[in-house]
Amino acid sequence: MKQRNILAKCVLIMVGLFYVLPMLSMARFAFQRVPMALLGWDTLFKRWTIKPLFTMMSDPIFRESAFLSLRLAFLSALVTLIVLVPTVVYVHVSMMRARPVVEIISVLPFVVPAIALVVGIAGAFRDLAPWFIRSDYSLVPFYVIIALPFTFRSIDNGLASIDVKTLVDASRSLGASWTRTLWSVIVPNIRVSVASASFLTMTVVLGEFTIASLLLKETLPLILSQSQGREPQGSFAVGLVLLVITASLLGLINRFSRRRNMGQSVTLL
Amino acid sequence: MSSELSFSGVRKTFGDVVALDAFSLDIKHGELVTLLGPSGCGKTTALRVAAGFERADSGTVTLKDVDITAMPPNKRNMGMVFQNYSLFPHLSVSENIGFGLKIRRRSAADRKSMVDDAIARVRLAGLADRFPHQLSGGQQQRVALARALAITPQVLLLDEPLSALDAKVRGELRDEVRRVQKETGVATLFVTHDQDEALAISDTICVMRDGAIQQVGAPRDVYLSPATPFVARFVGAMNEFAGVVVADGSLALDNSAGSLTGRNFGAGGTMLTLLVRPDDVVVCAASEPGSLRATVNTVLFGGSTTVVRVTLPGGLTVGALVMSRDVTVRADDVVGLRIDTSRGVIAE
Repeated sequence: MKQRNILAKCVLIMVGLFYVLPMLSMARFAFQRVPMALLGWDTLFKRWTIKPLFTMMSDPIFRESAFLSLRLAFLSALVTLIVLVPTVVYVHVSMMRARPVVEIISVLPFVVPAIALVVGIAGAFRDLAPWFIRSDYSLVPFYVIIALPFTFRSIDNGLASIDVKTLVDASRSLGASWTRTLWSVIVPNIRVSVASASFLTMTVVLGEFTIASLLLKETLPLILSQSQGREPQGSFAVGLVLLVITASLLGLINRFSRRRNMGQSVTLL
Repeated sequence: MSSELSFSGVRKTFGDVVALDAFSLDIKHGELVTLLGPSGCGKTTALRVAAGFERADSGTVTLKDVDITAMPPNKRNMGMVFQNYSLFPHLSVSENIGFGLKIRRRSAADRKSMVDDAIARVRLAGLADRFPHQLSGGQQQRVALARALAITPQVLLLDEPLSALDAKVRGELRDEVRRVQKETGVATLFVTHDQDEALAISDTICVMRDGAIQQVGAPRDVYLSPATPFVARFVGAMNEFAGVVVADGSLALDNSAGSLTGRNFGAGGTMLTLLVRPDDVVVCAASEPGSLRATVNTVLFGGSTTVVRVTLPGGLTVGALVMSRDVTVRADDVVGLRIDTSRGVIAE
C-alpha cells in the first residue's frame, strides 16, 4: 500500500512537471530580460518585468483582435447554450433512444478536418450569402460546431445527473411553459454544466487558429502568431496569461462542482 | 353529481402496443378513484393522458364538461404527485410549494399565506426553509402533495406516490393523503399496483388489464363480488379449485381431492375452476361431515390473522385465513376444510 502511494505521488509529480515546466519556461522567456546564455542561479530572479505584456496590449491591432476574439467567445458560448440546452433536454425527455445518434453526431467535429468544414460551408455560403462569409461573426457557427464534442458532453452529463423527465413533468403540471421550465427548473439544476460548457466554448474560441486563418479573420491567435517575429516576448506573455486565465476558470468550475455535489449528498433526516 | 374528470372511449397506442383501449371512466367531485392493475396494464398511461403528457389517439378527456383532450399540460390546472421524488432540487420547501402560485402571478403576500397553509396542511411546519436533499423520502412526498394542492387544482393526480417509501412511512402517508384529499374535496385519480393501498384509500376502484377496464366499483364490491376471474385473482388472495361438474351439480376436484358442494355448478361434465378467498375457507376437525380432508403444511403468523396452508390429497395447496387467537393447528396435523362455495367465482 505504501509503495503504491509513493508510486502515485511520483506519477503526480511527473505529470505536474510536464505541465508546469513549459509554463515556467514560457514565463521566463516572456517576462525576464536575461539572455539564455547568461541564465544561471545568480541571474534567475533578476530583470523580471511585465513590460512585454503592456507593450503588446498597447498595440491597437492586438487590442482589436483581442476584443474580436472575446466577442466571438461570448457569442459562441451564448449560441451554444441557446441551441444545445433545449436540444439535449428534448432528447432526454422525449427521444432517449436517439441519444446515441446525437452523441455520435457531437463527435463529428473531431472526425471532419477544419479545412473540410470551412471549404464546404464557405463554398456553399459564398454565393448564397456572401455577407455572412465576409462578416467576422461568420466564425460563430464554426466555433459552435468545433466545441460540440466538449459542450454536448458537459450538458448531457449535467442532465443525466438529475431526473429531468420528472422535473419537466412536475413543472409543466404546475402550469409552467416549456421556456419557463427550461429557465426556472432545468438550467438552475445544471448550472455547473452550463458554466462548464460556456467556458469550454470560450477556451476553444480563444485558441482556435485554423478556421480563422482560412477565413482570413484577424482573431487573437492569428495576431499572436503574426507578432511572434515582431514582439516575441509580448506574444508569449499574452499566451501565458490566457493559459492561466482559462486554467483558473476550469479549476474554479471543478471546485464549484465538487462543493455542490458534496452539498447535495448531505441528508439531515 | 356531475363528473369532474371524464374519459370517454380513450384509445392510446405505443407502436403495436395498445396501452388503453375503449377506456371510459368518470371521477366525481370529492371522489378518490384508484386505477389498480399489474405493471403494463395502462394505468399510468391513463393518468398521463389525463395530465396531458400523452395525447390520446382517439376518444375524449373532459374536465367539468370542457374537452381538454388536446390541451397542453400547463393549461389544465391539475396537480400531480409523482412516483419519483419530483421536488425541484434548487428550491427550498416553501419555494417548491410556491412555484405554481408564482406562475399564476399571485402576489407575494397571497403566496406566503397559501404556502404557509399548505405546509400546515401536510404537517411540515418548521421545514419551510429546508432543501429537498435535507428531507426524508416521506417528507419530500408530503411537500410534493402540498405543492400539487397549493394551486387549488380541479383534479389531483397521484402516480404511485407511495411506492418508493418504506412500509411504515407508506402507511402513514397513505392515511395523510386520504385525510388531505377529504379536507380539500378535490377529485383525485390515484394509480397503484398495491391492492391493499387501493382497498384502504379509495372511494372507487377501477381494475385494469391490458389497457381495458375489468371492473369499476367500491372497494368492498371489487373484493367481495369480483366481476371477472382476473379481478378475483388480482384483488386479494385466492384459492383455485379445478375440477369437473358431476351429475348432481357438485364439483369433483382433480386428483380425487374430494368434491365441493353447496351450490349447483351447472351441467355435468363441465370442467371449471372455482376461485375461493382464504376468508371463505374454514379449518375444522377432520371428522366433520362434508369437509375435505387435508394436512397442515405451514402456519404463517401475521399478527391479528394467521394463514394456515394445507395440502389436499393430490397435492393442491389451499390457504385459510384464521383469527390468530383461534389457531389451534400445527404443521402435519390432519384437519378438515369447510369451503363456502356460494361466495366463490367460477372461472371457465
